[in-house]
Amino acid sequence: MSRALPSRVSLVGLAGFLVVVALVPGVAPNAYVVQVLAFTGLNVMLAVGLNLLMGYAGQVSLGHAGFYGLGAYVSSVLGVRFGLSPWLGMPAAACVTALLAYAIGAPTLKLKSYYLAMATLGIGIVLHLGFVQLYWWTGGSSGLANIPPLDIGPLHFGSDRAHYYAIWLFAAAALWLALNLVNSSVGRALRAVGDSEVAASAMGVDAPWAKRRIFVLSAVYASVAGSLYAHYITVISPEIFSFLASVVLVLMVAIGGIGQYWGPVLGALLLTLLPEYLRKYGDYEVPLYGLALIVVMLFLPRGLAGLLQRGARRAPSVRVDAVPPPGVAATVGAAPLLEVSGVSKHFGGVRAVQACSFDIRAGEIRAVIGPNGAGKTTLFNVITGVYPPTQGEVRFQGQRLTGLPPHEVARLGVYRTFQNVQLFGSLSVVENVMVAGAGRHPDRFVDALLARRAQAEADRDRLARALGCLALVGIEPLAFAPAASLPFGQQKLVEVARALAGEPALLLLDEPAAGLNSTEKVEMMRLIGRLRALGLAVLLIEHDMRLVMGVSDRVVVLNYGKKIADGSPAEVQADRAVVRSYLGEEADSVARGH
Amino acid sequence: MITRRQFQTTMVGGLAATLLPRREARAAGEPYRIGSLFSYTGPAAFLGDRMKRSVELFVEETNKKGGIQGHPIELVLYDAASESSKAVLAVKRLIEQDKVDVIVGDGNRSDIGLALIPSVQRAQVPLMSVSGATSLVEPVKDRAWVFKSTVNDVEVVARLLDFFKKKGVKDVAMLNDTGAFGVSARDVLRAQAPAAGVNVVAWEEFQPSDNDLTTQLTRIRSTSAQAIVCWTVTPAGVVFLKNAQQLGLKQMLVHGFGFVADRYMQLAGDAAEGLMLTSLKFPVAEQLPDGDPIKATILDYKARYRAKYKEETDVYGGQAWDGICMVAHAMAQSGNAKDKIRTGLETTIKEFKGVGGIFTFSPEKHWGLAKSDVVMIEWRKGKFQLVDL
Repeated sequence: MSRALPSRVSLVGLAGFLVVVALVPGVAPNAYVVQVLAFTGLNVMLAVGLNLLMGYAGQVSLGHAGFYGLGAYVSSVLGVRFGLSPWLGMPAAACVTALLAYAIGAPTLKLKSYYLAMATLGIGIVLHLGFVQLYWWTGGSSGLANIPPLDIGPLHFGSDRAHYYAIWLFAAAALWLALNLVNSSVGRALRAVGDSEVAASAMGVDAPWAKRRIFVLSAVYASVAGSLYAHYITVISPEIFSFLASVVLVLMVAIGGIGQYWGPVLGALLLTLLPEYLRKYGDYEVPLYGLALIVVMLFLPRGLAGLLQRGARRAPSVRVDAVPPPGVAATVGAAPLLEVSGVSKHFGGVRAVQACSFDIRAGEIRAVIGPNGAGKTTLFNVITGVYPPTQGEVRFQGQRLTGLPPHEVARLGVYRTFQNVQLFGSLSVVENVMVAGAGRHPDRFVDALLARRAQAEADRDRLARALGCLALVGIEPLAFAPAASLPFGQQKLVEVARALAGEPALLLLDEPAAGLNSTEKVEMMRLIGRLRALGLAVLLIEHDMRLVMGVSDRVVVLNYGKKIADGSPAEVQADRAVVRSYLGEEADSVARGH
Repeated sequence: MITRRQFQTTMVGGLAATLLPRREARAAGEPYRIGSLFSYTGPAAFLGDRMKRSVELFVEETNKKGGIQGHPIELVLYDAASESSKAVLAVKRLIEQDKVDVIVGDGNRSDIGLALIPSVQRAQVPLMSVSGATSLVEPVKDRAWVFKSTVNDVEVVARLLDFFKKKGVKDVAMLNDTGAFGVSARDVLRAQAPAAGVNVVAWEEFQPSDNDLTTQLTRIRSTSAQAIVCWTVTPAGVVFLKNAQQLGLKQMLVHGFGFVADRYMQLAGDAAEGLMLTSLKFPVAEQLPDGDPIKATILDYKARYRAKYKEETDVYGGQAWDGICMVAHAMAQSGNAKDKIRTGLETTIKEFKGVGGIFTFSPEKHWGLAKSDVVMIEWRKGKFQLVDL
């Protein structure tokens, strides 16, 4: 049993589109139309690259026109001042742009939120100033003329039609690479990062690296488009690459449909063709253009690509049989699996966790309980590398986890679920599960871009294993539903399946029963039993005492960030300090018979 | 709410209309088709708006009078929107789809005009530029199809040096913006000053967006400069005047021909009082002696513009007016074949009285004005005053 993954983009669709592109010049009435369509090809490249960043990685670049300009200027200056062929200048420009993007991405993409937007806003303006100020190279604000054309030896690029094909050849390559990427595990991981960076990292995705690669790729797309523009028109000037141009690019992606493969293509088509079409309305051109954009935004909130969405899913294309998750081999010896030693975590004056120590043995089910605000989730976040501890350290299988980023903690075998469910809303259920497990099949960016066979095989294996995990939690029939459409209880099960797909030795469950009805709670208890049978160690935060006492081997009790008890469920239930913390002093007195 | 089908129909219709060539009902008597490209939106719009109106005025009046030798003018006008990538497409549309005979207006900015040159050169369509840069028409062998209805800084700087000689100014300071306009004038001055016996004692530059020039002016103050020449079209020229006043500079202050605008003078307030400017005769037309060859031409254009639009035109509108007048003149002499228009401009525009000056084109010279078309004017008592003819 199995089907195509819902978010896959069809290669047949792309091929059909490119056939149309190849035929259009034959029916174009004149060279003007060919030139407009050639410009459209450049904008398609720019917008598709930007959409990889905006729509998939969830990062905005407000300086893309700067990279467009860098591509244009580097290869033009090399051509005009140093006599270099465009076919050497173009890759040189792409390299310069890639290095710059890499350098900007290094600090900004480590941070969450929109630091990249701010940094690129600045870079775009700096680049624009550079184009104006370095006038001995760039010709300053009056621009650079006599740029060599795209000739290859005796093959002369004179006509607009020749340029049209050259540009669309590059655009086709850009589209093909983007299609491979979004259909690959790399694309899936990117969507995951865009949806929830915290959850993606916890599933072993190196989020900063994933974002940075895609930012560099996106900048290179812009650079190549810039070089092509320069060698086609043979005159460039700085204002083409101003901040406003960056905004238009963002608009193309937004109007077309962010995060949808065909979105930027449609956006680029509309925003290039519409102004030309409206020219015949003379003075009304600008208001009509504004009106058209408003109408699209109002009536097509998902962009033009929203029109292409089909209700029905595509037919099955691959056959895969579910592979159940492997068990964890029983480890001999008494060495604990996880050791938490003297961990404290302070947020300013708030001491969320204070000098907390405990351990977990292989195959053990351990619970952490305590009143709200006792520091349980903070403890989880310290163990999984989301927060560095203020003091103390955490060791897993003898290795220090403290100081490792979340994705590395995950790859060592520690996976988790979240108290407030953090599924990747733009992916289907099974794709959510497939995000985990980078340990078994590491993402290979270049393989993904070129759709190498190994990549497809690895992905089929991921799919089989993901289906196995879904079968274990009992929701395999829902595998191809959009994750966001599931009821809350089932979303929690998807999170468990997703964490399982990473093949952890230790699973951290943050309030798995919260929000579940009583039937679902019983189901969850049974599931934890099945996890034990696989040999997994489980660390559990839970408020439901029946569940905690029913499944746990040992229980840690936290209150105001301090461990106040640690022992078997029976011992903890009898502990006076625990009773006090839950029920108050008075209840304790009552319990003692006063 | 539109349905998907309606939306698709609209989109397909729109695309089809874009792909199909423009067909307009042609007036009887084979019209001459003139394309026009000005920036009437975006930053360059404050120049482009009056240029566009001037061209429209000319076409309307000419057609009322029966057209050019009986041929009505069909004007196709596009907005270059201050963006050269848009202008490149627009000029292509004029040439390929609208099949115009000639183009007047190059988006009214030098960089935009330069971006259009490969297209018009390849298609062999005459283009009448209205922008400043000398490189638009030089070297002529690579610019065979491009003409210009404005003055070149070569003439303006030469005129300024004559004025300095006359006034006994030996040492001057040059302060130009780093834009094309300023840098070009700096290079021209560097080439011409030695022969004119003028000693440039300071070369200073500023960014078009600068809002403080005290550093440059302080350096100039410590030199022997008797006059400070500022070359820019940007509002930084106002900052120059204000800073000079604050520093109490007593030197003669001079602005280039890109700063002859009432609005800039008003912004500078009393700091502009006594400022010398190099200019065409246009802003001081009323003060020209009655014998001046172009006085009547200027006043006539101003009056016609005022009658039509109920507002005053300016020297930039006049550049476009001259451009279309000369193109119409060439077409009247030689017809509407593209190469005929080009040779017509080269051979029939001799001593042509425009509002910018007296134009003479030749196969070797595609800009028409000369040093004698430039005058020195002064801003005094809220008005430009003619100082040196």
